[in-house]
Amino acid sequence: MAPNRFLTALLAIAALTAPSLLNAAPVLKAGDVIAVCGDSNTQMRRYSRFLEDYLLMCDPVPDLRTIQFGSNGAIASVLGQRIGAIALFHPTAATMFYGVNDSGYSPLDDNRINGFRHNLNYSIDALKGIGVQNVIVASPIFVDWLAKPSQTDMLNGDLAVYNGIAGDVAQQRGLEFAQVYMDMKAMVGKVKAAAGPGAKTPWFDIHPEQGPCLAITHALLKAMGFDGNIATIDFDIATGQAKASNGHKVLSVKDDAVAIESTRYPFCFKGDPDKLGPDTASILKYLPFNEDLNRFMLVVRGVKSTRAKVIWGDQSRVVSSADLEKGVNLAALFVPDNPFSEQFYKVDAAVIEQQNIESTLTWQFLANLARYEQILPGHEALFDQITQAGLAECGRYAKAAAALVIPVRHTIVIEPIVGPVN
Amino acid sequence: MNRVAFASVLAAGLLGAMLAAGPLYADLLVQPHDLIAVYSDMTSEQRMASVDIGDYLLMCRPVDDARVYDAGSPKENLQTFNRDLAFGLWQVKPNVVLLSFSDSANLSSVIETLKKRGAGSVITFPSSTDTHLAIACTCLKDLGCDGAIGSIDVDLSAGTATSDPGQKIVAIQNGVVTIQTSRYPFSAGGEPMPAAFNDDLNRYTLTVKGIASLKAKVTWGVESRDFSTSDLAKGVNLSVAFAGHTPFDAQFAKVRSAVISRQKDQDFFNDTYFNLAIMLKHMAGPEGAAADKLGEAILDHDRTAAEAAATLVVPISHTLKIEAIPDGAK
Repeated sequence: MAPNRFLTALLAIAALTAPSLLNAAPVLKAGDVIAVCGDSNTQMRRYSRFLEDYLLMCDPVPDLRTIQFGSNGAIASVLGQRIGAIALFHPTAATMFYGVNDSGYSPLDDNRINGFRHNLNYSIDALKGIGVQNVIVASPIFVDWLAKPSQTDMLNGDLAVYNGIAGDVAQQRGLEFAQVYMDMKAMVGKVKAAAGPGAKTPWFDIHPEQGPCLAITHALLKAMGFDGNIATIDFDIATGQAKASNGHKVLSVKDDAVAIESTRYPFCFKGDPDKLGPDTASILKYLPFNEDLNRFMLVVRGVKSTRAKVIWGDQSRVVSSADLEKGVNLAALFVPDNPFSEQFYKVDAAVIEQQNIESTLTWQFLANLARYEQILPGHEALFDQITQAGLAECGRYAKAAAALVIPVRHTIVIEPIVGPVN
Repeated sequence: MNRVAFASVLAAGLLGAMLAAGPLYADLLVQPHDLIAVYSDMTSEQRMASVDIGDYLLMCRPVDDARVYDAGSPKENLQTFNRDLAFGLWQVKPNVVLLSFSDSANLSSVIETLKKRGAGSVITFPSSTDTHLAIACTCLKDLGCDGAIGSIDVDLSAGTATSDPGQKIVAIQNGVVTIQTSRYPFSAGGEPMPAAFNDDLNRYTLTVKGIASLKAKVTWGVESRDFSTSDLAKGVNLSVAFAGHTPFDAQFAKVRSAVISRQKDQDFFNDTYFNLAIMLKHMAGPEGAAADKLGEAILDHDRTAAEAAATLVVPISHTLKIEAIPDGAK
């Protein structure tokens, strides 16, 4: 029997009432090891890299370790089937991001609908069985570009059902739910409204580009309970006083300049924020990432003009004094370059290397260990040696990435503007 | 086909050794114990072509202990090829390389690298949309295969039969020739064969003289075909006339199945081993040696699988019955 609209509507209601919208407390704690599990969209190391970037730099959880467990072509049961490989890393938390392959790229029938629910539960049980305390269940992507365009609506229909099932399972199991599908659908809707009818959006395909992948990270971080308060710098020019929130230290205030040292970075973006494209900056108009998760706020009082030039590093923006008094989000204002960008992308590069190594070990070797053992019997000691060496190497790469998250010193200068701006 | 062949034969001493190896291998680039690696971006047709080449060098133009190794992967390109070459790929140690990538940039530097590392011959073939048999045909011809698989000459009036060295005439009696054959005609399992493949690479020829009528019936195994006497006198290609119904087909399929099974393992290792080897070799300490040990284990397994496939290539006994069809008979 084909799924009907009633089922989709019921499941959508379940998805909307799933725990992530009700729970704002962070689910991660110091020392957690979070396994990022999913299909090829996880294995491509886009959203998983942004997720780790955020957890390392923007709202750092002490001693947190992120491990990449993407597997091309995986359906939801693959996680449970490969739980032995995941257990080697002793995860305490996990994200699950499946559904596209479960759909079979064909109209759903009862077997596929029930199979997805069963397989999600099977893999959740497997995670619980190895001691994973917190599981975040994500719904699948929303697509807008397939090789066969006529299949887009059909696949999105399947994924809408799976969105509901994922939310339903999360609610029944008392787990957090990341509404990837709904977030991406809303984002695509805004993009298409802005780009006009018939506009081509090939970066929203079955393997979304980096910009759309930011929506996946966005949904996961929200489900994890992050509040998005990265920084608040409160600068009173009249009194020459400045204060900063946790993670930031005011080093000095001199005239209209405040020098700060920050251990929490704003999330940084690449690309042109005014041009629709595959990059992360290109998607910011259509995804409330900065509003929800990346508020690096500057509040300035006592500006003696209606407008002021805000100079941050080697970039500047003109802002009204009224807005400055209410607070402006520097992370959104200074895209793509800000004083953190250089170090952010050094860490990001190290995260990419780390996840590449993890993928090699987990996806290419550990996930295939049973077949290695079958084809090459008698080499168990060698396999164990390689496994242990690989685990150690992954750990070294993770430490190297974390070590690059160093305090960044930056200066904010406020120049009142009198008369026209050049 | 617009193909560019870079065939490099080793120095004069090696050439002498090739000639000394005997007439069977005289025209071939492939020598006994050679490993022929197929490095490509591995379209499904290219993968099957690699099986065809392996089949051919095992059964049709057998070279002692020569093996074909599928070393490509679906995402392989010249960039990853160069990367993998330095770490894991070269453990295959091929003597002959068949090379094909859709991206041909830097191809000459790759060929140079391969030769520096000891490949006696590097042959490029185009990444094409041809059928696997057409691709295999190009490669096998570039390897020097001349297509003369078997030749059986029968003189019915004299009651005698002769053959090339790959066939042994066991008996001839009343127009029935019993033959034992160690070189099989290529069998595509019922799939249509390109004419060029049969003409250039798959000539299993029966020539009959002394037939006292205009036509004759030839029964090979359990299948029969009628031929004109003049065609039989000139020679007919049995692998075409009996395509899909030869006495070799069943055994050919068994060997091919073993070759495919071996290729599946090769594909698995290609997909999973090389990045792992790179990771391990970047690590200080004994991990690099572990990568080498795993590489050796993989190649040992492959060698064993190749030997197992080769043992399936057993001599086939078959009969050719030639009966004159009386003139005027329908």
